Amino acid sequence: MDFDEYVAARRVRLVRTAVLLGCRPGDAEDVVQTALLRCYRSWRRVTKADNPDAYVHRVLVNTVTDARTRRWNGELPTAELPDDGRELDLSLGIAVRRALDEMTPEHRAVLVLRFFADLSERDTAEALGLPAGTVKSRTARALAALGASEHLKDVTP
Amino acid sequence: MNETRARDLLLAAADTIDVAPSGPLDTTGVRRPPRFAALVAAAAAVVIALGVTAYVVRDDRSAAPGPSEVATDRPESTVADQFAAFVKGPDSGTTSLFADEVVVVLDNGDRVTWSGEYASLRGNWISPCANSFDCAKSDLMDHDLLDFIGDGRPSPPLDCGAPGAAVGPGSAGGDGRTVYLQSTCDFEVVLGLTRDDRVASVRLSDLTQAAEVPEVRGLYRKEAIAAMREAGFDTTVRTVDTEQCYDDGLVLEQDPQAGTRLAGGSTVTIRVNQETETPAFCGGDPLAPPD
Repeated sequence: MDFDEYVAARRVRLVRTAVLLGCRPGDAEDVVQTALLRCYRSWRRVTKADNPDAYVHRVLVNTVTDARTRRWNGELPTAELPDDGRELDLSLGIAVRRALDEMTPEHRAVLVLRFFADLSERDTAEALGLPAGTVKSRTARALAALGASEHLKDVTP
Repeated sequence: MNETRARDLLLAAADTIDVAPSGPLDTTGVRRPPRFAALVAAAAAVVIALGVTAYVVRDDRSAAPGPSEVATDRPESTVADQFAAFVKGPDSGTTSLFADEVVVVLDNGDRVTWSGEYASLRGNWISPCANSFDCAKSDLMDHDLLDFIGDGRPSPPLDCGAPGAAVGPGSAGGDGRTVYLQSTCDFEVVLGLTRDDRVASVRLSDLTQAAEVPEVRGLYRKEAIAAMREAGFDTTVRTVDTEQCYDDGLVLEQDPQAGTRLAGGSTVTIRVNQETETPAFCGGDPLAPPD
């Protein structure tokens, strides 16, 4: 698998994953860039992994964690996102992001990797450096926490 | 909440995230350089600084004197003294010197030049020896000198003997103050003296002190060759492809090892990495903590 092709196919999704993992949108692209460069330097190693995607996500999770511990992370959620002129109803998505913001980083990570990045339990476990059983139980609790979120009470699917 | 609902919610959340389109990822200069390269470069710089290229002639006799000058402008010191004056290193006369070219001007004005071989000189000793190791075994006193070339040309071909051995003495001749030189053997021999221990002029050009081979592992090919040249060595480059991830052109091995003392002009072999697999994506463990 060629690095350039991978980036072309996955970069946008990785940036969104980073945001859902808790990166500020402005930082997410930098974080993904950093993660991808780390992968680039070891691309042979990445492509030899059982699941290169899981490997890249693991690097991404670590990079997000690094960024979070290194910089001031005074994320300030706003009620209104900058208007980009789209007519799309973003209220559900924004509610979900608020809900995610209030979750623990552990719960948030399993939800994003399992249900947005579409990693299997095993690959999520690999990406987070956790036993698969832990991922399973943590996912169940995270789903429960998401379902109980105040932010999602008033929104319809 | 079930998994399908969670997927929908996360996709909806992702939809609120704008991602600017990206140009090609700039990956130039991100391959991990060897960490020891900087240290090695510093060490090499020191070695280079120590590499001595001396151009030796005493005072105003640096220009090769013409025949008329020679007769009247003869140094009072002996060859051995002259040599000793510049050979003496910090450890007082035990340093070996090697010259790419030796010019001896004879009493009669003839000049004899040898190049491509080394004169090996140690303190008051002038030794027919190939390197400092041989010199240690085979010092000859200057009055043991050898072949007679009173006419400025090597006369009859010398019996080279074994390296380090005395080359059979030639017959005395000429005006009795004859320079003895020899350099036709495979091993380096250059000797010069007059019969009465005086000589018109001695010039050693491109005199190179026996130098330490610098550490070039971790440098790149061109840097390594430059470092070797600075230290007075020629370089032979061979390529090697290892299983490990190294940059192309990175010097992985050298022979002889750094710190070996060799005569200037010796050849050092380096092995540089040359990946045969493409694309050569290489680097460290991306999961390792950042530098």
